[in-house]
This record gives sequence, structure tokens and C-alpha cells, in this order.
Amino acid sequence: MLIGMQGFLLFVISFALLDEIEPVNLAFIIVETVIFKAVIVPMLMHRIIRRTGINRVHKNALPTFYSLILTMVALLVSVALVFVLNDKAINPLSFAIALFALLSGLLLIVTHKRIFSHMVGFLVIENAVFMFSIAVGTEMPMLINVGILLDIFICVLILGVFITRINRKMHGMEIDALTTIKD
Amino acid sequence: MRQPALLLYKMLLYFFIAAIAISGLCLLMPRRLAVTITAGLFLLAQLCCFMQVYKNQGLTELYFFTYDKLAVLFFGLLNVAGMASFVHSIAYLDNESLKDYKFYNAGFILLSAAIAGAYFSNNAMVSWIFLEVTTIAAAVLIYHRRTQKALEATWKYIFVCSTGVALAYFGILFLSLMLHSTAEADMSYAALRQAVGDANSTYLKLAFLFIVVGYSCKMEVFPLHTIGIDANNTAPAPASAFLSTAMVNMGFVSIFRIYGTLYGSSITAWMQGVLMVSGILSVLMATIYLRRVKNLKRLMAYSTVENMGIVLIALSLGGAGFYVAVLHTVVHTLVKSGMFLQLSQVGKIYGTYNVFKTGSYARVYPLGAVTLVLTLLGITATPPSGLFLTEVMLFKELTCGRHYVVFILLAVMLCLILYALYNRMMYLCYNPLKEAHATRAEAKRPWLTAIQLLLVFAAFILCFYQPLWLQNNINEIISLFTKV
Repeated sequence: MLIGMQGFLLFVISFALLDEIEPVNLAFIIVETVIFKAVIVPMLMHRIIRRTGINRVHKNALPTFYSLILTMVALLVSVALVFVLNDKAINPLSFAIALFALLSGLLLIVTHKRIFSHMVGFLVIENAVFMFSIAVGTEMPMLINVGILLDIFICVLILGVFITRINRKMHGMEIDALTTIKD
Repeated sequence: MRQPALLLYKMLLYFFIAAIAISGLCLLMPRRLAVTITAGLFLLAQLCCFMQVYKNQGLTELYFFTYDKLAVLFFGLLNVAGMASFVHSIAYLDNESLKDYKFYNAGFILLSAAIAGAYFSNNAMVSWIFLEVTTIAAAVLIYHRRTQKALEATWKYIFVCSTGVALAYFGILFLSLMLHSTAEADMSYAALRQAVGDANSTYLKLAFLFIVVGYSCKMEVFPLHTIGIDANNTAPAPASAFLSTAMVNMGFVSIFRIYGTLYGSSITAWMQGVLMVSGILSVLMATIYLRRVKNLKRLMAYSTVENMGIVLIALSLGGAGFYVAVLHTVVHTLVKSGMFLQLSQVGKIYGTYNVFKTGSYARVYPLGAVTLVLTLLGITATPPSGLFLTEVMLFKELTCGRHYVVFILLAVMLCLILYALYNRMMYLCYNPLKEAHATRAEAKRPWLTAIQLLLVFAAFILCFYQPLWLQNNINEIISLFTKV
């Protein structure tokens, strides 16, 4: 649900920040944000939750209090960096949000024990990258955009498949189960 | 300049189409022999592609791919490593089910084509796309055994690589900031090199840091080196040989292109510092873990981390360091292929890669033991290995640059690595084999060992004689990528 909302918000933000747009690019943004990030990915996540029977997504490796402190530090660092750089070529709000999303995605991965949360962290990082591309305002050739989208889509799909396999083979979604490769 | 025929002009396009079609065909073949022949056809196509690319160096096709010296050199090495790995795979996977064999070959073909795409790409974004494709293709090889370990290694590999490559994308977006473009951004390395002069140095630093961290998972250097080790440990040994050479070279080429693009800018000294730190930490990680490792494939994976660390240190020195970095990578490809492929035979003979469950290799398979010792000389940079020459050159550069602390640190770490590798390999060759551990005599295949010997002799020859074309090639690569 949250990931879906993020996807929809990305569409709204990118649409609001654009001064002018060609129909092809608009269609691409709709496909990437609304269809891919707000519909397909959340559906895939829901399917994983149903198949694996996860009843509690959050299982922290770190107490919630410290996670909260770290998240606040991440927010402060993001805002401070944007102020220090103070560049007119880059949208400061989008830049700060993108940096914060990147750091919080990494925090999600580091501070959570469940691999499902890791996948959520990865998706947050992907959204951060999208937000940053809006902040930068660089327009990439369509062929490259399609390549990037396909790449990410296949990766998310494969990660989804592997999560269900891990759950089936290792009877759990804890990161502790993934320690069999030892010497 | 001579214009090539229209057919050849789109050589890479046909090569990519052939790769996708042949990998699909492999999945449809009803027999093992048919799969082998089909996959062999791909290697033939790849060789033909190399010959045409070599003849038409400097050409750009499909806008995003250029047959430059760096790409051609590493594509040649990809052909060598790919063929050797493929031939060994046929023997190594003799007991696999038809389905597994099909998937292995299809994955191998796609990986090879994706690596080639990353080599030839003249655009930072297109390189990124191909790097991401290699993650998916490599996952097929890592998951080949479908065991719990394979599942774990594959999950880690896809997850960490995808996250790392996403970070690299962040870096590329920082690079795009220096183009100040409102229209479609030209992210080619040439355009970036032109724009680097008046770029914001903070953005450049952030860009380089993100890209090096992201691509470190492909080059198997600190900080994301761990997944490469698990991948090499889990994949079938001939696939590990390919991952440890062609794939690692792809990481090197990608970092080298970005480094070359930004070289000479205001952040050159800072980039050199980043590469130096990453290189030293890579060698340090290898030193710490090599002493504890019992699994022979894991041992070689850490050796890759060590060698790529050395390459980064050489890159960080600039000047003659570039020559050392490229030559070290070339020799490493030859000798590491030979070593991993010899270990594939060891694994087949003993049925395990745990060194303490092996022994008496010199008696069990004398030719294999001789090859193993020769590849050991090669990988530990002992004369007459080509790596000996590159490491001597590196230490000379360190002395000239007055990096005495790095010199001492590196020398100590390399001695410890040398001890760890010799210790394990001598155990394998000469420690009496316990009777409980049976060996498979039919797994000894001298014709495969001959291929490994050819690879290691090529690495030895490079110690005494580097052909003029290779020297010119490396020098042109350096001049091309360090133009300011």
C-alpha cells in the first residue's frame, strides 16, 4: 500500500514539476509511475505476502528508538547537504526528498531482519533514484528509459520469485536463515 | 577511412540478436548434444564478431557502441575465457539433467553477450543497463544447482547487485548535472569528458563515489566484494572461471571508463585517494579471509578480490600505473581461468572442494598437479608469471610516488596471501589422502588440462615478452582515456 502510494505520488510530483512535455514522454512517465510503481509492484508485493503468509513485515535488527534516531539523522543530512550545495540547476525539494529516500531505503535494509523488508528498502531506493532524476531534470533518450524500466522490472520480478522460494525452502523469511554459505 | 560493408556495420546488433535467438534455441533442444552444438554455434558467432570488430576498430554502431581499443582487447579476452569455460562445462556438467544443462547454456550465452555489450558501450547509461542485465544472466548460473546454498547466493547476488547498481545510477545522474542540458542528455563518455572542465567538483566527487561503490559488486572489490565470493563459491566451477574473469573485467572496464572520463579534472587527486583506499581494503580483506578458507573455489574468489585490489591501487597511481592495471587484468584473466578450470577437475575427481577432504593430488593425477602448481605460480605472481612483472612495476611506481606506507603494507599482505595459497595447494598436492575419501579416475581428462596449460603458458610468456600490438593497444587505451 505504501509503495503504491509512493508510486502514485511520484507521478503527481513529476507531472507538477514538468514545464512542458511531449506525449511520448508523458506516456512513459504514466507507465513507469502509475502502472509500474503504483499498480504492478504493489500487486506483486501483495501476492508475495499472500503466498508466504507474512503476518508481520517489520522485525527490526535494531531497537525502534535507534532506527528513529538514525532516520532523523538521515533527514538532517539530506537537508543539510542540499543547503550546502545550494545549486540552482537542481530542484532543492526533490533533491532533499531523493537523498532522504535513498538513505531511508538503505536504513530499511540495514536495520531490518526480514528479507521482505529488504525488498521494500530496495524499492524505496528505486523510487529515490526516480525522484533524483526529476530533481536533476535530465531527459534521457527514450530507448535508454525503456531499457532502465525493463531492467528494474525484471529485477523486482526475480526478487519476488526468489522470496517465495526462500520461504518455501528455508521455512522462514529471516535474514538469519541466509547464512548457510560458510567455509 | 575505409567504410565497412553494411552487414558488418551492424555486427553487434546481429551478435545480440544471435545471442538471444541461440539462447532461446538452447532451451528448445531435445538432446544434450544438440544443446552443446547450439551453444557452440554462439561461441563461433562470438569469434566471428570479434574478428570483424578487430578489423573495424574505431567504428561506432547503433549510436551507443564503439569498437575502441579497450573494448576490443577485453572482448578478445572474453572469447578466450568463454571458450575455455564452455569446453570445460561440457565435461563438468556430464551428470546434469537435460533441463539444467539447457538453462546453464542459455544463461551462459546471455551473460557473455551482456558483458560484451557493457565492454562496447560508449555511453554511461547504456553501460549501466548492460551491467544490470549481467546480474540477471549471472543469477541463472549461480542458481544452477538449485540447492539451499545456491538459493541463498543467488538472492544475495541479485539483491546486492541491484542495490549497488541503483547507487551507481545515482552517481550517473550526478554526472548528468555537469551537462547543463535542457534537451535530451548525451551521456556518452566523450560528451562527459568535454563537459568535465567547468563542472561542480562536489557533484563529481559524489558521482565517482556512488559509481565506484555501485560497480564494486561487479569488479569484486571493496566494499561490495562479498557477493562475488558467494557467487563463485556456489556456481559450477567453469562458470566461476567465467565470472571471475570476464565479469570482473567488465567491472574494471566500467570503472576505468568513468575514471578516465573524470581524470584531469579538479577531483583527480580525490579519485586517486578513493581508488587507493578501496584497493588496499580489498587486498586486506583477501589477506584476512584467505588464511581461514577451506573451500578451494572460495580461495580463488578471494584471490580475485586481491588481484582486483592491486589493479585499483595501480589505477590510483596514474601514469605508468595505468599500464600496470591493464596488463595485470589481462594476465589475471588468463591465469585465473586456468586455475579455476583446473579446480573444476579437482572438484570432479574428489567430489568436494573442501581442501581437507582432498590430498595426494600429485599421485592421483600428476599432470593435473603440475598444472595446479604452475597456475599457483601464476596467481601468486611468482616468476615466471606475468603478474610478477606487473607487481614489480607497481612497487616501482609506489617507490617513485613515495607511497612508502602503502608499499610496506602491500608487501606484507602479499606475503601472507602467498603463504595462505601455497599452504592450501601444497596440502591438496602432497598431503596423504585419507582412505575414506574416494577419487573418480574417469574425471581426469588430459585434453582439458592441456587447455589450462595453454592459458597459464600465455600468462608466463607475457612476463618476458609482450607483443608490440599489445603494448601499442594498452598505450593507446591509456592515451585515449586520459586525454584532458
